[in-house]
Amino acid sequence: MITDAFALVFQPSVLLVMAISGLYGLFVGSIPGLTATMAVALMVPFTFYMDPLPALAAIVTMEAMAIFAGDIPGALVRIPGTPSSAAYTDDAYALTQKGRAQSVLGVCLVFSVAGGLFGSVVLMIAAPLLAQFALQFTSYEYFWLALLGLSCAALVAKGSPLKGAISLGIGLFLSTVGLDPVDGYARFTFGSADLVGGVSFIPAMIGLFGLSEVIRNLLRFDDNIQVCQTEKGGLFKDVFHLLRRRKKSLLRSAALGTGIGALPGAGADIAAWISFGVSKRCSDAPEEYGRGSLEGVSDATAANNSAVAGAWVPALVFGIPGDTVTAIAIGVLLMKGLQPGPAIFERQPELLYAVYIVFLLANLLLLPFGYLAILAGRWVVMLPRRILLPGILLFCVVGSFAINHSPFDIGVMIGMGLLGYYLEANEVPIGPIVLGLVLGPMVEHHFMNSLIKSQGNPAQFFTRPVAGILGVLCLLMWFYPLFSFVRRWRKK
Amino acid sequence: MFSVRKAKQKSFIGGACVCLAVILIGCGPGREESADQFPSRAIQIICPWGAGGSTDTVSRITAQGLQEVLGVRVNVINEAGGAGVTGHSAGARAKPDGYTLTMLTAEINMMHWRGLTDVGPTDFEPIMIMNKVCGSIFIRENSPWQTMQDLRNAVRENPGKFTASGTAKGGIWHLACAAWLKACGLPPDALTWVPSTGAAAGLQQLISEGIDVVFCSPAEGKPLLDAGKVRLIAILSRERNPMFPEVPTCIEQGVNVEIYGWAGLAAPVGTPQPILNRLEDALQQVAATKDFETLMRNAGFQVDTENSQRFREILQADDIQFGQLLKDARIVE
Repeated sequence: MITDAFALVFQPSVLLVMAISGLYGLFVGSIPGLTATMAVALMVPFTFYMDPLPALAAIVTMEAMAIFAGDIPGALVRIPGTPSSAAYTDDAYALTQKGRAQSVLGVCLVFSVAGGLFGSVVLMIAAPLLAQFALQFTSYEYFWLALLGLSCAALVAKGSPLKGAISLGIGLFLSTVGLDPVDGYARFTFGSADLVGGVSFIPAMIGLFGLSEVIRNLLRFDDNIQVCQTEKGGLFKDVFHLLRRRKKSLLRSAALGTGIGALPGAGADIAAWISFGVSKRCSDAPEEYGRGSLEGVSDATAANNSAVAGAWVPALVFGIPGDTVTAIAIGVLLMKGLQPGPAIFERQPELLYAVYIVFLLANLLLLPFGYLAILAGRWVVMLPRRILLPGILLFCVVGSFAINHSPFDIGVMIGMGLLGYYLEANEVPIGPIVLGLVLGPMVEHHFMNSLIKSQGNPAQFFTRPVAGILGVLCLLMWFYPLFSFVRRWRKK
Repeated sequence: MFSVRKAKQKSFIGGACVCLAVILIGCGPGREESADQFPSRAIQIICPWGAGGSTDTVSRITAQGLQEVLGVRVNVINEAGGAGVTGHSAGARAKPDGYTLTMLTAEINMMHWRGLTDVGPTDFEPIMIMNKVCGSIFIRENSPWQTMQDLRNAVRENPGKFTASGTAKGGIWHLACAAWLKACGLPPDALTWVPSTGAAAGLQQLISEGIDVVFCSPAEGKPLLDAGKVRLIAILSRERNPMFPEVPTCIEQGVNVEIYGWAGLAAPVGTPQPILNRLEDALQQVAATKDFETLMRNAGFQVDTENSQRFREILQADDIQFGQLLKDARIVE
């Protein structure tokens, strides 16, 4: 059966499809505003004419490449190529500014591959088990998980906690614009059809990170300097050292990423944030986080790539998509007359094994492909600013338009860019705004749903075992500073 | 010498005039083409829901077929957000020239009742319904209820105790729930509606014992049905579903209710009739192809199309039914 699976995968046509979709994924991932979801949706008509395996191989390869490639513009010009890179864009860019573009991209590549391989192995050996666990999550558990994620804001913010809280508050406020997720009541829309859809996340992210950086650079007057220098030495100079030193944290991040990815509705972006937060809490040098921590980048980038495989766990086992990409993949499978779920395990195990092999192969392919992508992208930082800045601006505009085909989103991007510039000029971090935008709707949706179900009884938030554990963990995290303060005060 | 220069000048002016004329013809109102020239460039279909959802799938299958019949590119553009308001509004505002079409869904008849937008069914020229899906009722595999009657009795005895989901508040499956309760003679709050982002999220809450009942299309629950995690106890259509011939309809079980979600292609109001006819002919051809049927069936849809005349009637009938249901369920005042 395994040999059947190998025979399915190692055909020239499948390998060719993987190579092409890999290049496509790298391209899409590294262009801000083009997301993996959009890319897969565009691929669907092509899959009509493919066999099931090449179709799946194309999606898997494309997604793995795209999630890594999102790190490249994040590190080089401070625009995350996909939302999954947002958590550590500041750190990666700070390292580039210190002249370490090569090492940070090398680390991103190798740790992405490692995370992706870890996720694939978990998918292979523990999919049914993990899916059973993931499907135990009700709105109570999701609420606590999202709240834990928000608590990461306190962790990831550099500088004053108060300023971090202000920033998070802005993000949460912006996330309430549009239809509320429970009653469908229009909030802060001022009668505008554009605002009914809310503040679009990707244009906001591009504005906050990318445009604000362009404005800051414009206001510096020396014209002919390069944005930054790059160091001599190979791409992988720091990688092996870091790999050896951080084996455990790599495993932790990859496990966290796979687990979060397997939860329907929580994907690679949330995995990266939580992994980054946990990494900071466990670190010996937490003060570096937010200012250019290679450790933080390595942990978060491993988590988001492992989450890609995680999302396939509930999709393959129960036909419940783990994220938007797997939702499309399920649609493609159905169109091929294949029903994801137990049926596929029983009736077509060779196809399932072949998908596992594709996952391993795609992540291994990422190494040479990603290397080439870095080589191709690296020259960007060597451009003089008067060429680079207009180019970035152009990408900001095109990227924010492309996501919803809406000129209104360009306005959102510009507004958020100005806001981001103003806040950072006053040393308010912008990461928590992005986190608030990602998790705000999730917290609200699951909180309200839980209350509807329990008819307003808050005890229900603790009575289910997993919810109870997550809840206590969350409360401990929130009140820990208070406890330690009281203890210190008593000692005095 | 002089005359040569003059001739050159003249030819320059002449050339410029020709260019200008071409440009003017290109931009001006004179560009309105007759129906037999249509289409001469790419057509876009606005899908008001996200990539990967069922409406997106129908849009892409339709676009693929239309592309082959019409011989021009047909692109699908997802303008999701705001419970469908964003995409439907964009579609209604588009230039009525047949080059921007919208994949309308049943929500077009709800959003204006809910005061979310002024855009409604009268802003569109219906062309053809590409598919219809009926509602159905799923319960958890270990649920004590065996039939729809058991569910009805349980809800009657414990009004407000049990929870249901399947879509956002005021979405099509919420209306299915409201319609079922109404047909059972139960008050609209006898089942508490827990909003979810879609059928998949609702089904996941069902099997994690977060809620008790899910209303959605039968195809959406099929993987979990096959996995033995859920049971399908009733179909909310007039006849049994060929994919699930053993499952009885509500009507058979004495509860007179049927409700359908649909997706249909429409153009902005004001599109010239010959172009609408050309599009409807092309869609009829698409729907008749073997490819279309196979792709739709595999994606979990029955091929169930309706022509523009019937589409218009359905739009009008739905508008009245949904408006009444939204009021009965107290979703709108």
